[in-house]
Amino acid sequence: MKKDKLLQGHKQIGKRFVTPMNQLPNFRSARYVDDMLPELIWVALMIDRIDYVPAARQFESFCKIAIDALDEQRSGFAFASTYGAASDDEKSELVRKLDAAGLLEDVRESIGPLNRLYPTSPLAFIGMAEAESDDCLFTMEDCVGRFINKHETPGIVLNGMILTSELITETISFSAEMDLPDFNSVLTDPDSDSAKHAGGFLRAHALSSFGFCELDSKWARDFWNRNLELYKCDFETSSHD
Amino acid sequence: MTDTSDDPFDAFVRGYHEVVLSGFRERRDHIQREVYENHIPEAVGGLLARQCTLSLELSQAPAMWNGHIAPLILRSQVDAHITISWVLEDLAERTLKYIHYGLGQEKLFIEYLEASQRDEGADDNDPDLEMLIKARKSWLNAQLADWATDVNVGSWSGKSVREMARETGRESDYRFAYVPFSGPVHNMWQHVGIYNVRWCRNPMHKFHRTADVFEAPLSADYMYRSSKYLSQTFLRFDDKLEFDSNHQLPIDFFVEHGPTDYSTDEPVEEFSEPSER
Repeated sequence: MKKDKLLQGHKQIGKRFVTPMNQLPNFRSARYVDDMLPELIWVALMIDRIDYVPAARQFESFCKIAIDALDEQRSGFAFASTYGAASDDEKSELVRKLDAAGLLEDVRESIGPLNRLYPTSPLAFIGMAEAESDDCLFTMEDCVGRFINKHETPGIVLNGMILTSELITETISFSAEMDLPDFNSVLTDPDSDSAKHAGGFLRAHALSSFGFCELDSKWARDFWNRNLELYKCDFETSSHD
Repeated sequence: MTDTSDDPFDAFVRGYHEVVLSGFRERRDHIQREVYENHIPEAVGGLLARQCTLSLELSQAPAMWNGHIAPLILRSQVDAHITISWVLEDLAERTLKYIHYGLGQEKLFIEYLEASQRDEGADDNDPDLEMLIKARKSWLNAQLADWATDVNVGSWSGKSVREMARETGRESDYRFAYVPFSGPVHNMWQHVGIYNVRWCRNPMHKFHRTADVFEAPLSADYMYRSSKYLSQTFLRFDDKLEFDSNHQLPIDFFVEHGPTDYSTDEPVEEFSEPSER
């Protein structure tokens, strides 16, 4: 019987075996939890508050207004740092247009905990609704816990919001002949093969889009380190201390 | 062992010592006595004694039957097993190679000591250092004059441990014992990342780890493995040197008499990792 070759697809360079992905020229890996989740957490908060479909509509409306308000920006509308990098005028314009469209209070309600608890939130300029700090702590913890696994439905949907933003802002389009997965199955039949196919597609697309944006990691670092201040560790084992 | 207490664990340790030492002595006596080519009985017998010592020391120290310490002993045992197995394939040449490598390492260490002595200055020589150098030189020169001792800074056998294991038909020992136990020996992350950090389950901290010192669960399985590696060495010896033992193997003694209640139920945190990122 022929033996399976170990580390198939890897390329030996000196004493290292390089993965197929790392052999790709200019490939830059992106980390979902470390870097992408802090950028997407504001969208996750929308979903957490009003559920998937209404949140998707709210997010679509937000993106349509944003592409109009942010003159220079043409991509990355799902990522918080995109808005943080906008000029003061663009930020004011975005707030004004959200208000005019009747969206501002709703968005503030959703992302309020983020702006209240994280002083360096890139979306701080949007402001916040009134809420108790304890509620905000609970809301954030619940939200992160729900969306932290990119293989479960909330995480897949969150990854999918990147594609949604690109379709709305017309920074991506698919040929009519292209055989796209059934994205609805992620919600309607999450355990199906179809949902797994769609989930894989959305995660892979999110990773490449995120890498393409080359966002500064400052906000991601701020977000996680702020959590160390806000929340206590939860250890399973006891130490000698 | 002079302890005669009725404690079952003490009884196990006493019995294990008897089995190991009787197994060792009968094999040592089987090696042809030879004082002209004395490197063969010295190297093979010495390695066999080393293998026994490692297992005996572990047997009487159940506090070390944990993931922090036991792998250090077990890796050394697997190493000893591979070395003995490889040496047994060509006793005359390989025992000499083994000894000459050790003498070369000793010569190099003496050179380091002498250099350090020179750096300190001739006027204020440390008498303890002087004595140490003298004693080590004496040990070296009693076997091979230092001017005739080559220093080999590569592998003693000229081969990697993996190659040695492969040549003796035991590459599985290398893959499934030597490699995993090398992590703790060299303090690498695959060990430290489990035994020297605690995983925080709070998603708000993105499941970070905090360095900490904590007790690892005890498990008699480590001692079982120790008895297994020693038994494998005995069996390899018996096979290559055509010896029939009259004594029980250490592994059989352990299975019959070894403690079974030294296993704690709590797994270490390696089994409770968060999902892939």
